[in-house]
Amino acid sequence: MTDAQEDDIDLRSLSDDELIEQMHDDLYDGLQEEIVEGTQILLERGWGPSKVLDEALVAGMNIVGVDFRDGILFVPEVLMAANAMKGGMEILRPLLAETGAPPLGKAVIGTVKGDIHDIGKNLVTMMWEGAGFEVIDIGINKPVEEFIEALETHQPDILGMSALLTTTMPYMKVVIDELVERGLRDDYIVLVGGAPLNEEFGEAIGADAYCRDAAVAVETAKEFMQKKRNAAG
Amino acid sequence: MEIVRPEDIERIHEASLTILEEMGIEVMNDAALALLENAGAEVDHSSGMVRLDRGLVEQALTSVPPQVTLTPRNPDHAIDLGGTHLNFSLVAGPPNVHDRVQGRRSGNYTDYCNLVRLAQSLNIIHLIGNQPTAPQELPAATRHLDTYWANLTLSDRVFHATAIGEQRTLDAIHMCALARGVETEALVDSPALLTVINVNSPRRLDDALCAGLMTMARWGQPCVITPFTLMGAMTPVTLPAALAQQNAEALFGVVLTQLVNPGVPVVYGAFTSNVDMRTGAPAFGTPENTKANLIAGQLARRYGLPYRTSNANASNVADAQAAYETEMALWGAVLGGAHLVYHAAGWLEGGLTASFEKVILDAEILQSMAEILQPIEFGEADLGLDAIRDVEPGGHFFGTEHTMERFETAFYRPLLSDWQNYENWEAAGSEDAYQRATGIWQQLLEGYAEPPMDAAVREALNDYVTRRRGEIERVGLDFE
Ligand code: B1M
Repeated sequence: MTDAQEDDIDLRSLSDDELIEQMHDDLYDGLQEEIVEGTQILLERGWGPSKVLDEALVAGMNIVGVDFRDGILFVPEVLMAANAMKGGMEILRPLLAETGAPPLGKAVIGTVKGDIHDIGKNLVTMMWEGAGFEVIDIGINKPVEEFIEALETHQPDILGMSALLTTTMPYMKVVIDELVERGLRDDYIVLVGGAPLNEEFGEAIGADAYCRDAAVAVETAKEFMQKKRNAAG
Repeated sequence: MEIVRPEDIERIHEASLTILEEMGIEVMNDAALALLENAGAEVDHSSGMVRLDRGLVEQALTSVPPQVTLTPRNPDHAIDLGGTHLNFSLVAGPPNVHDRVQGRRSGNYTDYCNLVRLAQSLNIIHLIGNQPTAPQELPAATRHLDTYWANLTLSDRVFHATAIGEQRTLDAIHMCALARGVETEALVDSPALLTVINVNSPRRLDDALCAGLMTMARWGQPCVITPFTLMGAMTPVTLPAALAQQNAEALFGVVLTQLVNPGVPVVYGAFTSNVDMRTGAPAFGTPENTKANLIAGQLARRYGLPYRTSNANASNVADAQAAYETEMALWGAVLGGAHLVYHAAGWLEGGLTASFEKVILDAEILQSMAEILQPIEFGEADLGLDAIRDVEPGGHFFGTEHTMERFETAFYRPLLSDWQNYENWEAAGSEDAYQRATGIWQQLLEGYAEPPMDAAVREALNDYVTRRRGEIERVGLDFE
């Protein structure tokens, strides 16, 4: 379909089912404006924010996730899809909070001090956003003070750290130890990643889990959020 | 080999100057910012953005030497970077190691030492690059002392200073001087070692590596300025754009070395490949990587700089993929006129693993490459008309005088290839090249002899390491 034809679709003229299907396609095609509009229409039609989230957005992004895993979609396409998702989430997030629905999750992520590698971290951010998480990316070369400050400011559920150098990996432990010191460790799910890490290392430094790639980072974050909700509920 | 027309090289050059003048490079190091500003660059201190006008670039290019000789403790193993010289380095940087006997594991000091011993045992490996594997069990702040010690005592080849900050760099320079039995000042005019400074593409030079660059330049040692760019992630996806950006970043580093110390040797580094657009994972030995290796050579020659590139692959095992990707990258490097090929032996998994078997496989490839590059000059005897006359149609040449005089050295003798027929190969155990490589590295390690070192020199080195380890443990390092 050409862009011109796509522009022609009047989302309002679609039935609920048709609209949901169209939104799945629009997520797949990374069309942020359309997703924002679709989200608004469903809300106007009286849908609850949780229902919009689950049936329109999350279900649509699941299709994207599977096709990314299977090598059908390319990184730029997933990036666009994640941006579209982010657009929808910005509308839903405050409404979800009002209804008291459990949030999907919020994360702070950064590359540790001394390390400037960020391609992997950026992919994780993208995939998390695609899965509906709110992500604050604090960037590269971050000392423990800035991690702590970001945690205090944003009060996330998850702390993500990335390191690609064997000389900077140990710094993840410095951050975790500081959390322990301040009695904050149990307030956060700590997930770590980066090519030279492995599961043993993650365990040794006291992280909750090591994530070998961005897809696993999504799965792991979802699992831990589920556990957290169960514990709270 | 020139695959881009001279006028198109100029277009890339012009685009690079535009990048430097209009967009700039972000520098994360204050001392470098001050130096650049003094030299007339436009510096935005709040963002660290530096814009260089073309005059500064051209000025720097007038003082760069076209060639540099690096002399390790054994002067017979000195290497020349420039001219018609080609040098191969051992793999550098992997956090893991692999061999067929013990499998894959985290890098450690025992494996580190064995990889250095292997390099020392193979004449085709001319230098030791950055740590062939990271000895992860050693404390990160003093690890460099242990690796320098191993490089200097287990080998007598040129090696690479870990240029993460000033102190690690200085330790390497002092230890090289001690190993050569000279004052450190003597190295200023007779450089001994090198390092690689990666630019954090796009357009950023990090703090620690800036400090390392400036220290090397101050002490007269060459930096290899290498924007390591993965197209798609770190540059646009089109090759000309990637090359223009890479070239701008390399030139920026070159300018910085010349501002620190005009005339200091510096090497033009290039390492451009692409990511897998389906996952973001780096790919190597691709057609794009090969083309980039070729064209970057044209650019280096345009500036009269020695040229470094790499020999890499993305395979997870030392298999056929590892071999053919390696050959692709290497042909690009060699035909591109590289003077220095990093990661020439032992690289696997996109640089995440150093493989013992791959060292042997690569040594075979590199030796063959070196053989191909032997100049073809021949006299009447080589033309062999007499030998041809001597043998009647249907005869053979095994017994001719011409053959008898030459047979032992006439052809390249492989290290790894097996040329037996199928039945004999089967009778001998049906080992493929991968399996045979294990036996070869094991044999090399068994037969390895430490290169002799004067007892006083050894003691001086040992004292240095002990003293510095104590200092670092007490007061720390500049970049930990
Ligand atoms: C919840 O939180 C999470 C969860 C999952 C997470 C996560 C966080 N973070 C990552 N994940 C996971 O999900 C991601 C997506 O699936 C994955 O992320 P990855 O990052 O693994 O994968 C990315 C998608 C693609 N992979 C990458 O981006 C890394 C590729 C390699 C080739 C690499 C690159 C590209 C670079 N480098 Co660097 N670099 C190497 C790398 C070797 C390798 N093959 O990994 C490595 C890591 N580098 C190395 C070195 C030596 C260096 N590098 C340096 C610089 C650079 C570049 C700037 C050139 C560039 C980085 C650009 C950038 N913007 O990030 C220097 C250091 C700079 C610094 N201060 O940090 C320098 C010191 C080189 C120099 N002398 O200048 C080596 C490590 C040395 C060691 N043993 O510690 C190295 C193994 C290459 C080598 N063999 O030399 C997972 O790991």
